[in-house]
Amino acid sequence: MKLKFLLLIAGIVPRLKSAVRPLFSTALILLVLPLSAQDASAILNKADRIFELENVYSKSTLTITRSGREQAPQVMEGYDSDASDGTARSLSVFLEPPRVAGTAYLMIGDNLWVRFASTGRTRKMSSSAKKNSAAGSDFSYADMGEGSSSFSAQYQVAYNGEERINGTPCHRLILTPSPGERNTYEQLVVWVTKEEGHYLRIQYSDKGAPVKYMDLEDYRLVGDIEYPFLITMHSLARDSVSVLKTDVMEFNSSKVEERFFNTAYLDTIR
Amino acid sequence: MKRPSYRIAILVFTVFLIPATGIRLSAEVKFSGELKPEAVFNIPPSSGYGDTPLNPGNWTDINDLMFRSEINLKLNAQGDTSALDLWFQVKQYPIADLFTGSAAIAEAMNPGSAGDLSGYSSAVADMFYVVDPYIFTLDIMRASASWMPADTLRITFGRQSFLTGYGYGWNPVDLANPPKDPTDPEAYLRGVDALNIQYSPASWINTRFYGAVPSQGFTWGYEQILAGAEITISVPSLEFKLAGLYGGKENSSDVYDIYPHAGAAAFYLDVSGIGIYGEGVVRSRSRRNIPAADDNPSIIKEGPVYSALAGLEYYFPSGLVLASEYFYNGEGWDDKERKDYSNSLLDQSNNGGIVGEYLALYTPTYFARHYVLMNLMIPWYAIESIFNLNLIWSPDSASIILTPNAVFNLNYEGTLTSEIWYSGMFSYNDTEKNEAWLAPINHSLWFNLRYYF
Repeated sequence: MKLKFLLLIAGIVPRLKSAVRPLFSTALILLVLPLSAQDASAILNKADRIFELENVYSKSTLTITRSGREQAPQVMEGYDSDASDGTARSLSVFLEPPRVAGTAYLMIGDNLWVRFASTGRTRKMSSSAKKNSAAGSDFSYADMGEGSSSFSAQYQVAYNGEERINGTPCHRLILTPSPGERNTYEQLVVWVTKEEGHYLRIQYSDKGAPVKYMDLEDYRLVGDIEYPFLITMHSLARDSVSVLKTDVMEFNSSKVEERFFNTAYLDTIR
Repeated sequence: MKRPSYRIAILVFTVFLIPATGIRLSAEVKFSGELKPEAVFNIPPSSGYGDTPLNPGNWTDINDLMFRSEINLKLNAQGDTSALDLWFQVKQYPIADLFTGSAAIAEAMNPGSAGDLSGYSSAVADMFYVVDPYIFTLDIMRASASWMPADTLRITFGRQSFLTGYGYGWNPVDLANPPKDPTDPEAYLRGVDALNIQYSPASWINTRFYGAVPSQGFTWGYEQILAGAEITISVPSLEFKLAGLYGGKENSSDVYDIYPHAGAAAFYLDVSGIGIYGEGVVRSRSRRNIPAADDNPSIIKEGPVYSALAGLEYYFPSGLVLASEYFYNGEGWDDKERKDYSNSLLDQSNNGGIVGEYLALYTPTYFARHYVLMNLMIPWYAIESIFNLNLIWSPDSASIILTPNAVFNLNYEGTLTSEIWYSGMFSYNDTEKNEAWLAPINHSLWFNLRYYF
């Protein structure tokens, strides 16, 4: 909404007499600067549209490259659906390779359960596990599961200027956890393309230093929302890159069933 | 001649299985499994393998190098409202495995008649064949059909798993399954023959009600049928369970009874990322007999007995996982009982051989009253490996079991792994007659390959 307001002001400016323009521009700058936080919110909200997809089914391939050596691709299915009270819920089930097939993660809000393929046991895990690597990748359980929860719902945002990423002009935003939010990262820096309003890069910081960043590419239309089909997580702590390529994406999918978001369902996964 | 109740069971199973096998053609059918050949390199004690109360004269034929192999074949069919689960396990393992690091509670064989199958319990395997020094077994690990008439209801009949609880090493709240081995908690456990009704009216509550038959000593009497229930309730940061088992008619003979009446509870609490959990159980009597002071039969321990577990776990950002647990084993033996056991083994050894029931009473990590477990696990991503250190200390019996291991992924496809581990049992006070002092083998190195398909 704030973005629309600014565009309206910008449209008025050319029609003003030239003598008045410098004065008006100064006033405009004074008006706009204090509002930059709200502008940042608008930018974030627009980029957050990728989270508006509901009842999402996806099939993805995760490929990890460590020290230049590519590891076995891991194929997984994902089911995302918010609960009626807005709680984010996600279920990830690994299909390949055979060693991890049947491993599943269920996240409901801050709660995480894992179904271990090795024993078939389903067990609740502590929330500290959410920071840990999911299936040995550079994605954490939280990165995997919180895909259904928008950044604007969890973080406070501040505008931090403009920057080009891979030649693309972007807004740079700083995100810090909202009061009361139990987020797993102490700060995010996000770059949103100026033209499309897409997330292009997200950098995660913990204990005062960046730990990894994620590039989001290959945006394709899913319904009326553009969604990144290629997500690459680069570790800054080790020589490691994890690429998550979405092979299938359906929203409002009939494949997403209410019973999936229940620990009892985990017991049935093979 | 088959008992009528057995026929009824087959009939019921068949009637149930037929609709399940008629799973819609769209059902997803998966065939998977793994092959695990394993070599064990034993480090012989200075006095040889035969100088222990459990293995006098090395009657189990423990050798420097032993071989194990295991094949698991799994078939799963999943439809919209039905599912089928089949899992067979074929194993070849040394007889010595029956009491080296295994928590399998079994009526073992008469050591003087290896090859005589009559003394084996069904707890060892569904089918077995003995060729010294190996046992070959075939187990039906899972054989169940499920029907889901509604999203909230699942009815499963056949052999299935009832794995539950939060403990890494021990699960007192797990009333239906055989006890797991804390030195190898990921070892597969054979399922339980049961009819299981799971009802989950909401995401925060799960219930299960089941009727089962004992996995050993069952003579197909209605009075032996078990009935159990479990309820799990989840609220943010807290999950808790209540479980109960009605163990049917309790045995009053010396037949080992692993299903006395029991009530149990467990919880998992997340406090600032630290997982705090506990489990407790009260049984109407101990599942484990106590030894006589001489070579007489073991004695049933009457009266209620309780066991409990308390644990902590934390996942560090580095990937390091730390779990620490204390286990009070109410079915474990005190100082006098351990000494009686030792004396009884020596008496039996001098009087013609150790009887199978006494061998079965040797249950490492369930042997004494008090145990402390410390587990550290850290992945080393650069070489696709995981390192694990497991330490189990029994302060009352003065023993330590140390099992560090490493798992390496060997190929690009992720189908081949290798595991190397060391198993060490240490007694720092032999007068306590602990499981390490009794063990025929105290130090061994294990190496395996595991191929997944």
